[in-house]
Amino acid sequence: MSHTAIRLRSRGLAAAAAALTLVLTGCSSGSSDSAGSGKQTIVFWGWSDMSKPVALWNKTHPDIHVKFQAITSNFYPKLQAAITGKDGAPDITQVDYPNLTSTIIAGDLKDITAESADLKPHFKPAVWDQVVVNDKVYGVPQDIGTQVLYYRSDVFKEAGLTAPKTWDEYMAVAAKLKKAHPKAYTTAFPANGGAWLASLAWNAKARWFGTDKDAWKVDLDDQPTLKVAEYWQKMLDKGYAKGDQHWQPTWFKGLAKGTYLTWIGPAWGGAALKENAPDLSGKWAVAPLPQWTKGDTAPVYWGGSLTALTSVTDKTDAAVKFISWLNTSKESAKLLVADVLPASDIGQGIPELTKPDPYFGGQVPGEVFTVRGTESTPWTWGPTMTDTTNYLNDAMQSVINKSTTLPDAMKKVDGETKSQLKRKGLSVR
Amino acid sequence: MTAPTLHPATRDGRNGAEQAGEPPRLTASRRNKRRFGADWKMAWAFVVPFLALFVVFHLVPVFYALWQSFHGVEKSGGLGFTKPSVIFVGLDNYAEALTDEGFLRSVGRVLLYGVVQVPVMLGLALVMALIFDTAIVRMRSLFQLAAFLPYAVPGIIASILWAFLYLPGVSPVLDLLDGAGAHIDFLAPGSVLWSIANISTWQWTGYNMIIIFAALQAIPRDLFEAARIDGATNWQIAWRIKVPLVAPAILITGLFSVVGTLQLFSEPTVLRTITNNVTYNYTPNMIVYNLAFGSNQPYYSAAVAVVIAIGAFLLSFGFLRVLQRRNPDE
Amino acid sequence: MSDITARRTRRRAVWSAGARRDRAPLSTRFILTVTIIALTAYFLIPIAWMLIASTKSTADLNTTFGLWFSHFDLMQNLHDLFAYRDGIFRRWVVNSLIYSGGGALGSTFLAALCGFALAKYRFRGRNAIMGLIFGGVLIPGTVLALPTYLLLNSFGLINTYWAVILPSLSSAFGVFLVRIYAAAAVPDELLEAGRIDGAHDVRIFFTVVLRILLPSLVTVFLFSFISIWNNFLLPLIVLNDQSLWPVTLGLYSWQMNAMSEPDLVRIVVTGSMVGTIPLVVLFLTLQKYWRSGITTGALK
Repeated sequence: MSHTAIRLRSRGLAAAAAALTLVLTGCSSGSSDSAGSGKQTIVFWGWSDMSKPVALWNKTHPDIHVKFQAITSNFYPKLQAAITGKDGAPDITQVDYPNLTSTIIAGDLKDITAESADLKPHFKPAVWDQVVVNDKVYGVPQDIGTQVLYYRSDVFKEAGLTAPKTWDEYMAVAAKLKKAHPKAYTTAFPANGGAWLASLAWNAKARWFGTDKDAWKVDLDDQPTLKVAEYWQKMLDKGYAKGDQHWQPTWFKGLAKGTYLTWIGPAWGGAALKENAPDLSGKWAVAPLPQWTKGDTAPVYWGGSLTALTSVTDKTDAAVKFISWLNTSKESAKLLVADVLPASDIGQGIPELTKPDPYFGGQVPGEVFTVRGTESTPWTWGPTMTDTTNYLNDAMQSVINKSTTLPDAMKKVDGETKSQLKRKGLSVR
Repeated sequence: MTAPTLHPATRDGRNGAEQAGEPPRLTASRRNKRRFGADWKMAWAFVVPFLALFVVFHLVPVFYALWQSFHGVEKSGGLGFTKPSVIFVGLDNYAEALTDEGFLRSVGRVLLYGVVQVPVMLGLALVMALIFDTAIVRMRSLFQLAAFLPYAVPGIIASILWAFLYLPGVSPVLDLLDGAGAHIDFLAPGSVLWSIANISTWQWTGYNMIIIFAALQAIPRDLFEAARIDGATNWQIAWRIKVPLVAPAILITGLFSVVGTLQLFSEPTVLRTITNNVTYNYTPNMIVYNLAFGSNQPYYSAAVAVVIAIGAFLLSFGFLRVLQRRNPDE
Repeated sequence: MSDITARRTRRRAVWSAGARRDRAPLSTRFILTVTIIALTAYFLIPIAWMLIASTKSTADLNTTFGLWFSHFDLMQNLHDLFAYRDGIFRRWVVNSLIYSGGGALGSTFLAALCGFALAKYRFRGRNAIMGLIFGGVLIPGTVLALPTYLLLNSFGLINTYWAVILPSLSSAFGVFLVRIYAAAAVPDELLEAGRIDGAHDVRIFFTVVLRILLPSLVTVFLFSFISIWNNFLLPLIVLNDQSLWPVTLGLYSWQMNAMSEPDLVRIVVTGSMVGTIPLVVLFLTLQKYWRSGITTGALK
């Protein structure tokens, strides 16, 4: 064996060893560059695009630099892996309200009850309730999806109808619309509407989840929920509602072509209407969500998110400074409002939300979207909302396929959710 | 080794062999002395780079998954707000998986799918290969290329294309069917499974056809002449001679197809973006994915994955045994 | 003239003795031809639709017949595709090329080393390695998904190019193919001649063996390239940053949005076309190699 060959081989081995070390140690692109005189860098994860407010913050706050990363798939598993691995974990993260409880249970978030005390007055109680779990505060509300009733004002006017204030009125309106427009439907019953149905149960004062000492109380088939389920089963059976799927072409087409005459949707849903039914400008209007008891005004929500600190961050002060600016300043709200409804009173007071909107016939939709009263319907999101939403979606699809009825399906979802909690090692009462 | 005609690669390699065979100046004694291939250290040096990566990215994950499948989390408080600890749970996860109604239904679903889709696809591939093996249809290579083209389309893109073709309003296929008076909903609960099957059939028929065709071309031609002299018709030759002779090729394509069936993931995942009739737990693989990345149950997810892997192994070995019985010298 | 015809007929008869053209009855020929044409239409319609749809505006896509052209807007669609979301699609194409090109090059090289050694060396552990590799092929990808993710996470490689490339480097199929090929095409005499001339094994490998193995290496490269290009699950779980995504993942995310943004449909379709072209070109130019790859892989 020649010397060259030996050298060649050992060099090859050295290179391989070097490569392996590289692999094993990992080229960690650390986010903790606290270089310079007290300048801090904060990493911020979210799924919706926050680059504009972040850019504005970085321009106006040279001492705290925020690095925003958009994570658009598998958000929570990635968050958890980053936090367990510590490497590249964010300091701040977006969380949607339904998944707040499960994210806390996963150990991903920091309790900021003390740090956030002076932010509480900027939010209506119904909104602030959304960030409190087990009596501790885990974030600051960012945007909120108040549920409202979108309806075709032109069709309503022609039929001599006004926006229904109660669910009984809504059903009566549906009957009249069916007579006037036999081919149209009052609304769509969504196969992928788990979160939608949850908001309607909430509106009926259901309590799907709650805690009782050291155990979870789970009741997805309580009386209010069954009332809602029977109501929507009737809407389907009478042909007032049609099985469809939100955000699908058939559904958008239904809204644009007059197949669906109303939509129970969130504040952030107005943009989707404008984009997909541009020809109907001036023909849609917004009304508060119908209630079971006339005169109730407590809002319920679909979607929306908060900004939270991760359990591994060591820059609590800087992070709190940033999230309070993000969620309670006018400058930030003006940028957020393009896509969502800001959650704070300050954010909801910006001119963009008090202007009349020609798409809604000159109405000021912001007045309907924003929360006025201090009423709040108690509601707790469970620790297994991802699973429960899957169960709900399945159940609603089977109802549309006529293989079960909604009240029966809710009983099944209740059972599935309970066993899922037990499977995750939680106590259920 | 099988007959060289089965390996076009071998045919291609002949040049090299001839070139090398030219200088016959070695004597037997010298060859023994300096035999190539006896240096085991050298052999390992060649093997190690591949093997290291294979171990790290194929075997370590398997053992990791096995380890996980026997573990679970335990919460100290019933509400779950305290830090959980990982404990050994024995076969609990497996017991859970084997009694999980959703999982069993998904397994039943892919089995039903496999029982229908695999024979249909292989049947089509066989028929096409047989037709191409006769010279009846002109422009054979052009048609073969057309059949193979779907394989060149990335799986995700193929699924996206078909999703559009199933979508009312966009799909010209639905327009044509509507025009003919047939109102078909490709995304209905009863039909969506077959819409998924169609995507795989579309993608893989040409590929399987090429394999069967190559096997057909390898059959010595005088076999057919002999049969014809005995008075066999073309149909008889096809069914009695050709099909039995290419049966091993069909079985092996069947093996890959069955393993593929158990792993069904991207087609249903794409169709799920347009219909909720594909549920989050539609196929076993979607369950594994959802458990790991949706509902944060990595330990249980690992057990379900291992069950699928064992199923795939059992099916594969079943297939291979059938194959070996037919072809004992392989 | 009749002589030429006769010779041609004879040649055809030898080639396709299964059913001579002149012997098959007209009806059979008709049925078989129609069968092939119908199947070909089935294979081509989705591709034709993709090509045609990528030339249409959103309005035409919804209103005109899908399998024929209307106003030709391909250039507009291509422009919009590469301009959409700050032109991130260009980045995805480049990423796909890096993942597939880099991964395929690496895995081909490793497969050449390993396959050659398995074919030409006799050493203890050889059969064990081959069994290991063959068993590894049968492990379903999803079993590996989560552990691979956690593994990469503990190396700190999540959300880097390495997260996609490293797991793609060990192609069991490649080793398998090179082994078969090397056993048949690399003559022992040649290797021993090299040794007698005083060359080291490594040098023999790089100067002589690689050249002989070349046809099989092209096949391995081709198939690795394709499988990495088509990979969906791995990038889906290991990449966070959109700027690191390959084409397939990007198109999937746009497809999800396309359901609520109808104008995105034409962009997704045009992107699908662009994402398919490199593979079709590879297949058309390297026909010989994929045929050999498919048949060796399946028949051995």
